[in-house]
Amino acid sequence: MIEVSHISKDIQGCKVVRDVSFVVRPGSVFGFLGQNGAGKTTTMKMLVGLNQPGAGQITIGGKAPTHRSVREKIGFMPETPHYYSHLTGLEFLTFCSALFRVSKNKQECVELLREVGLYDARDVTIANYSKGMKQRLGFAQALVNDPDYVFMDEPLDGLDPIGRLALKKIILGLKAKGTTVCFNSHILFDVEEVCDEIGILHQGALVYAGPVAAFAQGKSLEERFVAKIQSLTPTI
Amino acid sequence: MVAVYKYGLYAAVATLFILIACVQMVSDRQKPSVPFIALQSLPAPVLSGAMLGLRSAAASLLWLQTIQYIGGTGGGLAGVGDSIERVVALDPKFSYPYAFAVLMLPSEGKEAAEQAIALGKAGIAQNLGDWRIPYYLAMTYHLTLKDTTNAALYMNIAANTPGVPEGIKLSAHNYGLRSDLREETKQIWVAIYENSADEVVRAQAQNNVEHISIMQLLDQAIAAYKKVQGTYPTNLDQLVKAGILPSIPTDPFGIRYGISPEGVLTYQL
Amino acid sequence: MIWRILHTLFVIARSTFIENLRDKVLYGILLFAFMFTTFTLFLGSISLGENTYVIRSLGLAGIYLFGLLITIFLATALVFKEIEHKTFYFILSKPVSRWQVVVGKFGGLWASVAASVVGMLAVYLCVVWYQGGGFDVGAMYAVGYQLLELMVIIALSIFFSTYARPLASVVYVVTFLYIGHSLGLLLGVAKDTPVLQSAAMGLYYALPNLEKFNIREVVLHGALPPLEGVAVVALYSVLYAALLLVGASLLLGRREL
Repeated sequence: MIEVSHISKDIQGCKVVRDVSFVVRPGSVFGFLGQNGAGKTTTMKMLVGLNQPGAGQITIGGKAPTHRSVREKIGFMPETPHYYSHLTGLEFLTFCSALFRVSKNKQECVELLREVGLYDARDVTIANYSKGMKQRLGFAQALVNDPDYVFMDEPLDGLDPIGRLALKKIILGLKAKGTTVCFNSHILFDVEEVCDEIGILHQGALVYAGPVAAFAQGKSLEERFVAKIQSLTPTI
Repeated sequence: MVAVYKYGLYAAVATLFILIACVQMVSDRQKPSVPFIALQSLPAPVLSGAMLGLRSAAASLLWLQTIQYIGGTGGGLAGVGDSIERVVALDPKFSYPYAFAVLMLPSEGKEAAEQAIALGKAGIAQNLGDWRIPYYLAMTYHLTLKDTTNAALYMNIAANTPGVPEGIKLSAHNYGLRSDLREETKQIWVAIYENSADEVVRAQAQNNVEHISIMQLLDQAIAAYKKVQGTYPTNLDQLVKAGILPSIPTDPFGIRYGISPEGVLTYQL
Repeated sequence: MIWRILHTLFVIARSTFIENLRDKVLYGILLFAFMFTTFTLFLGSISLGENTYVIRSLGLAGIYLFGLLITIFLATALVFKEIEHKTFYFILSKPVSRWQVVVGKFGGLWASVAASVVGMLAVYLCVVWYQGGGFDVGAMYAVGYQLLELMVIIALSIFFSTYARPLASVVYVVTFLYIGHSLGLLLGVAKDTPVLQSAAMGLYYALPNLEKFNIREVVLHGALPPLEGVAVVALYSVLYAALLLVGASLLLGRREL
């Protein structure tokens, strides 16, 4: 279980995250929604231990995200990931794998690349990858340690419809295995398809956390999201 | 149209290169408006610091610049002494500039000769093991300053420098040892022996005194043989056979002596 | 536990090494370095008989300067680029500490710089041998000392790149290079004034004394440093680099990603 309890974060005097609390049940898929600058990425970075909250507490499986044993069990895919451009996809994945206590061998890494649709590009240097290929590679490195918890920031961004379909299938496959998935996205149609619960951030505050169906109330998620945000920001 | 544009660009590049070369030629013909700060004008510590402590590379560059300057002026040596002083200030162990200065500068006059001698002495003080420095210094004393005493001193240093060529060694050992100058030179070495506390210098002086004494002894023995036998000996063993000498003494520098048909002592290593 | 830490450091160092060695700009610099070393043959031929001295002094200087160029080019942007391009995100979300990333990157970078310097040394040795200078053992020592100096410079570059942009880091590193080679001069200048002398002594011991690693003049004239001297200089290099890497880790630890 992921438990977030009253976390706040200031960046250069600006309150980016304000008193956010939510829980992500084990084996569920949780989607983070919000406008640009709402605080989604900042919250995600705190969840994976890249930054520390100014106040409040985060636990993953009962321990802080900075705990070594927790990091062995999480996978993180940052938004628009950059890599070491002179390495090939396979070299990069084996490098990521080697950082864990239990690492995949070369053949297993090749199979993972096949799963995300990068088998043919495994020996191509990352400098020659398209944006979509880099997204897939980001996905692969987030799954290389067979994590119990996966965090992804805009995972479907830049993918063509076939690619999005493939990765959504992988996310549903993870869910079936009991992996807890937490991701940010602007593509509300995909969130509606894949997520069990959502959290909506607006100007650093959590304005909704709960099941998708309960929020949508029979309408499309996009329609309800826009209406919610407009009700909170009358100038829009 | 695209082809015309592309070839037009190539033509523009070629034209610009030609124009740049022409402008460069025109600018080279003009006198420089800002005085050029030559490498030589920077003090050695500043140059060393500017080159991140790469003193020997700076010395090499300065040395190359000095040689180019001499070549460019058709052999002119004005200011070369100062340049060489900077070279050796950067790398005091760079031996050839000392030797070059001692050999070449005295021809520029008295002041240049004094600078050359100062450089030569500085080079010897560095203990570089380069026979050329003391040898050229001896030549300068002998030829330019007519100072045979100092010339003999430096010849001796050259002769005892490891790696000195055999011919140089022989002539250096025997500089100033024409029969009329031997006693004078011997007394100089006796004085050095009696007045020096340095064991190495005293040993050197003692060897030289012994060397000169052997030559004097052999000269005297040859004269005695001539007086008794009426002819000069054909080889020195005859002096022993004739009972004039108990044996031919061993020279401390390993020099072997012979005798010419005219009765003059000869030497070889 | 220690094995795990060493393994992580090795993995990061190895990927950094491969990444650097595939950088085309590095090969451009190396090509110029090889051309310069070969050019010293021409300079030697116009040196009035002092070919070997000129070739060796300029050749060793070339290895030093091009080695510095490679180091500054690779090291000053290292940490800054990782933060700017967010490559730190995926690595630090794994069971890797910030100090392990700093030390691992340092190790990989030093290995790639060392490989480049050894390549330049090989060309230099061939040039000197061709010129009749034989096998230049002294140059091996001089380049060995240079690699120890480059440890300090790489650590210094990484330290600055944790908080400064690449251009500013270059300026800081070059400034420290000149200071590091002038500390003895500073002591000499300050020796007549007691107040200045104390300040100069403080700076002399606090700042990296890079002249310690300069034995080019010694080996050019046929001498070799004693073994205990080598050990002391190596220890100085390791300790100073460790100090800078600890500082870099501290600065990086406080930095928001």
